Amino acid sequence: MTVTALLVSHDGARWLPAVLAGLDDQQQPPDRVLAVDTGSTDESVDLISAALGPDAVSVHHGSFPQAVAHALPHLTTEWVWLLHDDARPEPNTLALLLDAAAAHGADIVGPKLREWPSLRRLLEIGVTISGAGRRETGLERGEYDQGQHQDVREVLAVNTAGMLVRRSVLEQLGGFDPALPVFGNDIDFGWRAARSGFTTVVVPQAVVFHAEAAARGLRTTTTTGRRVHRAERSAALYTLLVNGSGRSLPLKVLRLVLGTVLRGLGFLLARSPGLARDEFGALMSVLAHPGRIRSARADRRSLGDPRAERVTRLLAPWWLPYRHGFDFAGEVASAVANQGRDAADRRRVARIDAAGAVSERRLDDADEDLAADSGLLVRFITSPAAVLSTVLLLLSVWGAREAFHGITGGALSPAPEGSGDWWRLVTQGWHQIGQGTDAPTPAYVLPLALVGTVLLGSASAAISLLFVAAVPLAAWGAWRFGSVVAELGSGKPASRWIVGWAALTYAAVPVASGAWGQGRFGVLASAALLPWLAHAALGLTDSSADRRWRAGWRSSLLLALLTAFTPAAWLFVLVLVAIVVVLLFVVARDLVRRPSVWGPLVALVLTPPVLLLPGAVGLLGHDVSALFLEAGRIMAQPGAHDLAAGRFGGPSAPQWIGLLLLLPAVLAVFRVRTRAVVTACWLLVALAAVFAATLSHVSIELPAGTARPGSGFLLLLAQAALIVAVMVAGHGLRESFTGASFGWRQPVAGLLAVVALAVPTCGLLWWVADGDNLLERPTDSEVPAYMAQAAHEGAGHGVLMLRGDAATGLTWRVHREDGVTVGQDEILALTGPDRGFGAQIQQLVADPTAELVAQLPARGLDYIVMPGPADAQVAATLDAATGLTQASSVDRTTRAWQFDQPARADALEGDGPWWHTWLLLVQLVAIIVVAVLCGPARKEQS
Amino acid sequence: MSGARNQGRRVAERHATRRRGMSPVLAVALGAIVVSGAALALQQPSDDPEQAPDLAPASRPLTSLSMLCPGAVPGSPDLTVGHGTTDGGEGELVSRVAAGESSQKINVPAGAATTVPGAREAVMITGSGEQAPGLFGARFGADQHPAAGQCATPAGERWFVGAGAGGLHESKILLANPDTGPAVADLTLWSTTGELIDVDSRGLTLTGHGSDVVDLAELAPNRDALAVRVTVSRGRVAATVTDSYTPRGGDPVADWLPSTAGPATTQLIPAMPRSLGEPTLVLANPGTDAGRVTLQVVGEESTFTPRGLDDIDIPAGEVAVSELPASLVKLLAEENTTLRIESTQPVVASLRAVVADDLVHLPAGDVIDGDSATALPGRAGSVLTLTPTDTASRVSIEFPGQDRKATLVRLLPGTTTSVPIPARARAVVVRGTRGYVGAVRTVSAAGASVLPLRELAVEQVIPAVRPQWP
Repeated sequence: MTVTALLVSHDGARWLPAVLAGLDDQQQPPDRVLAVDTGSTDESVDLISAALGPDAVSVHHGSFPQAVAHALPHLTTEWVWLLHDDARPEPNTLALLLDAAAAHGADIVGPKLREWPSLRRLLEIGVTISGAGRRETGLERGEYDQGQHQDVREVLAVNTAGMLVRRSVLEQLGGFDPALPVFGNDIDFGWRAARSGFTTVVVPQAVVFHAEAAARGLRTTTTTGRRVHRAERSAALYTLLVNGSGRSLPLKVLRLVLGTVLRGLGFLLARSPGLARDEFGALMSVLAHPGRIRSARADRRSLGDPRAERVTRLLAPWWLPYRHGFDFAGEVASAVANQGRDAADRRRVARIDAAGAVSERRLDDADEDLAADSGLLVRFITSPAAVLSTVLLLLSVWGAREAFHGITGGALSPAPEGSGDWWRLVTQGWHQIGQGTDAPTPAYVLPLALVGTVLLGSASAAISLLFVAAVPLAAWGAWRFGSVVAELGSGKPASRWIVGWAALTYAAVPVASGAWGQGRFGVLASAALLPWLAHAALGLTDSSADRRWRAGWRSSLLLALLTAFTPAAWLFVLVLVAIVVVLLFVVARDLVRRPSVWGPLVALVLTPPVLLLPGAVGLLGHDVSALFLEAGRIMAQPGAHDLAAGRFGGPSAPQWIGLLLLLPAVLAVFRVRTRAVVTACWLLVALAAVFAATLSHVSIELPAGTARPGSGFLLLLAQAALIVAVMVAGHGLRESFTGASFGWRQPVAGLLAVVALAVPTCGLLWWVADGDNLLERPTDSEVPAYMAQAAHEGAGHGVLMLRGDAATGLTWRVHREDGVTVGQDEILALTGPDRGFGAQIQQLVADPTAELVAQLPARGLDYIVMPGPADAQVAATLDAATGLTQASSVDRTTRAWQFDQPARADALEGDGPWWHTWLLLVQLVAIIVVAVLCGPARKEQS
Repeated sequence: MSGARNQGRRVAERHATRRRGMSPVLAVALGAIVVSGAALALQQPSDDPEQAPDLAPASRPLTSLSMLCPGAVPGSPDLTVGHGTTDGGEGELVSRVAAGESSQKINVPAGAATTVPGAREAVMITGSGEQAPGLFGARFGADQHPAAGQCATPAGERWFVGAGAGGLHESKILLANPDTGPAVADLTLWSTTGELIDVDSRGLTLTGHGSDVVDLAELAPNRDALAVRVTVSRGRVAATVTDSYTPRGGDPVADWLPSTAGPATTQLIPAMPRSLGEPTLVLANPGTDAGRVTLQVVGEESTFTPRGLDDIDIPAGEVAVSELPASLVKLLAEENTTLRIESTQPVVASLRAVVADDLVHLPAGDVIDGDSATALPGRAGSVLTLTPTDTASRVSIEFPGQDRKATLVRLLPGTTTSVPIPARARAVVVRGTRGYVGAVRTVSAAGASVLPLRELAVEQVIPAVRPQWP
């Protein structure tokens, strides 16, 4: 068997000496060595000429396939051994390849490729391609060569670096496809060979070390360009499209487009916008030249059936791309988790550094030692924190038992039928509710719609999840935030017990305050989010600029969520940041001037309005003070006593339980060691109280009456600040007393501890045991069933509901479809008064002329219902009206009428503001950008 | 050990030096606490946005008014219709037969009362536009049998007490629907043995412009003293009752049974005739607790409780019939009086008597807070009797069509004021402001009739309307 070694080089002077040495060391040297240089600008040609003689070298400007095609006519041997200038064979490689070719009757033989220079890592043992166009090697990333792959096996393709191929095959297949200058020509070649009935095997015993200079971007040529990833992807897409069967081509194109979008999003999430751009660029470049694909497919038509079993079994299995997708998602998730862990580790290291030496062994460490050797159950029952958190979790699930089915009541309207209704509210600028309105959708509908979609489209499950998970989530967040603040504030290692107390006390706030029982889901969501926001905001004080930026983005995202549920949050943070910046400007002027210091702060306050588009802009056309309305139906706002006790009024835990917290919080300022942090907490409380007092004097004029801005966020914040003050001051208190002589301080501290313990205990017990609340199962519609059914026919089929009596005034509402559901309350509240319609109803109840009765169906009304006891005078007036027919009702006291003319189905149709769609797009882009910016950074490709 | 002591001392000393002046941080902290407290003091009290203040209804002149006038009895003259307001103008008056569609326009000058020609059967008179406010009317009996039946406006609830379904006393209820849509009325009957639960009197449906006559003898045969409540659950229904009574040893007498005031603990029956035969008080207690009724007489000078008069016990849900004792009848003959009924439970009441072989029904008067009126037979012997409920007030009494000034009368609580009525007056209008009851008694040799004053409907209440709180 005669062999010609064909070395193709391009600016490979860095590796060529070793490659040429490897070639020279072959135990079975090739019969002839030829080299083609594709236009090196370094001393490659000289090096090769020196080693092989000038006759063996030819210079041919072009790509690898062109170089091979250039050399092919000069070849006479039976076999051709292709080598790259960055691929160094081991001395026995060629011998082993030739043996295997003979033994297996193969036409193409490839070696095992190992990484150069690490020498141990496996790169490839044969390759194939997945349906998504990914080059599949079947190896783990960074897998070491420990002799685990030793069988000679048939593969789709082998790398051209070290490929031994029959000259006849090379000629018959027309060499490598010049459309694939650098990447993917090996797979294409192998695929074509397989279709033509040739056999390709890989011989793991034969080793070639490969630097993958082009793929790693170490060498850029005119053929690779600067964007290696793009070149790789377009090669892969091209290979897939030209080699697959023609019948599945349209499907394949569709799949590749979708896959590109997904991969692009994935790269964006991993903060690699360049790679995402390459993905789309590659797809565009391939799809933009259908003629190229058509002619390439025509060339391959004679090769054989692309669907033959012997070809398809060599391709990667169909599920492989999905597994990669899962792996990728898992990697991102663990990177996010690691990021948090890194922060914790950093603090621990800093603490140990500060301590100067290893201090006494902590109990925790002993626990951890035990934990390392024991089973899960033992670890669980020996950890008080685990047991206590499990107990809290079970208690909170029991306390929230009512929320396992659909609930409504208080501020909470019934959930819509599915999350699709929420998506409609989000995406449409015009809402067919009430009498049709372009009032903006409240911002919290978007996160609810997302959660509802994840929960298989169930809106009611999303609400239930919020009510069940809010308390444990608040406790968890408070635990994480508390652990950091306790340590920073007290200068001592965080005590699990005191942080645990703080987490419990904070978790009790949303339930004891009555937010849970009164259906104030906005406050509930904010309570769950606030500690996470605080935890993220701690990163703003990090020493690393990159982490500060990331903390700024993360905080802004969380603040946007909080603002969506309790809008006062944004204004509060804005003022707080302004105060902090002014203070910093006075204290450390140079520090504030650094963009990495003020930048994240500005990002924190300016991003939420962008993330909350288009509602943020939509509000401008309406009463701006409505910005402060809390989520849900408008509820009573707490007075001074309620605020001090952390209560909303209405059904809530007894006030004295909340007032107990004030005692240790006030006394906390007298502890010198922690005074700075306690003072900061009290300043926050003062700011919140001033805010609440100011907002309580603001009145929002709505068509139905006057409302007050929501102060739920301020109540939460004040409670949280008080809890942090007590938690920080409580650190080290026990130790400071154990050595001291007995005096008045010990009993006082003991009493304070008992008082402090009573706050979460009594609050949570009240919830679990008594739990007076306004929540109930959504009852059947107050509208008779046949009317509700008619209302479902379309938004234009409304039922006018009249309540009250003539003596004290009547109120009206139009029931459409499912009635008013979560997300619609605010829209209706913001809708400006429809004076024309109001006047029509005024006339309807007093003097229903035939003309008026004829006009109302055009406003989208089919029925009038007066729930019992119906006012006799108004009922008699409507009974007497021409054009109205009495309709049957649920009970005798309820009265109902039907308009003789049917309602116009398109009565409520209208156009939203033109900018709504554009703002939605901006919002979407902003959310993606901020999500990417606050995600962990992907290590730059090295 | 000593080291620890030393350290402890050092700490103590440090504290001592720090305590000399207040640390600025502590000052800030205490300041923050004070600011928090001050801010709380400025916090507005809690408010409930849903507790919106009541919105009082507005009113405007009535634009449409219907009234059902009973059918004629043998010898009846034409129907008398009047306007209690003087500013009549645009609009029209239409008289439609209650049980049909045949109608005719009628003409009544503003501020006057006149007889209008028309059908002998019951008619529905509807005034629209400026003809609607202050409409009233009545049908009268023949000269030899004085009787009076007022036109009745539709109402959600009407009480008729003293109806009968026995051999000597038979009542029939006429129900009529003034509107084109259907209307539904319920009849509830009480007798001396309790509420008649199983009577087939619920859900009486009247088609548009339809009417129905309900013979009480069919619903509750052989009952002599009945209390009937007509409630309207759908639409509008007007109701009148015709009554036929055979006095002891006399011939049957036809009359109309006027509606009486709804259940109350105080009822006033004005315009008691000076001489009475078979005076029978019919009381009904529709509640669930037994009551006790005391009778008082509101005389021209004062109110007094006649001596030796027994209280009347009235069981829950029953009708009680009590003949007035002779001693009381004797007292009533001395002056113009109003009978006052005080009860421990809300009751309805009506008095039935025979005057000169003629049946007369005296209903408890509706308390009137504004203007009131009644049509008059235009015969001599009529006296208007007025009794205020609890406060003194002034009323002005006008006789439309009579060329005389309005009479100003001062009503004193606890007294009855009577005003003689000119012989030819076809109507009397009383303009007042505070609560009073009143009736016109007409006594002749042939008998007597009593016409209670009915409040004039001049204004329509317009409910305030606002969107429901979201």
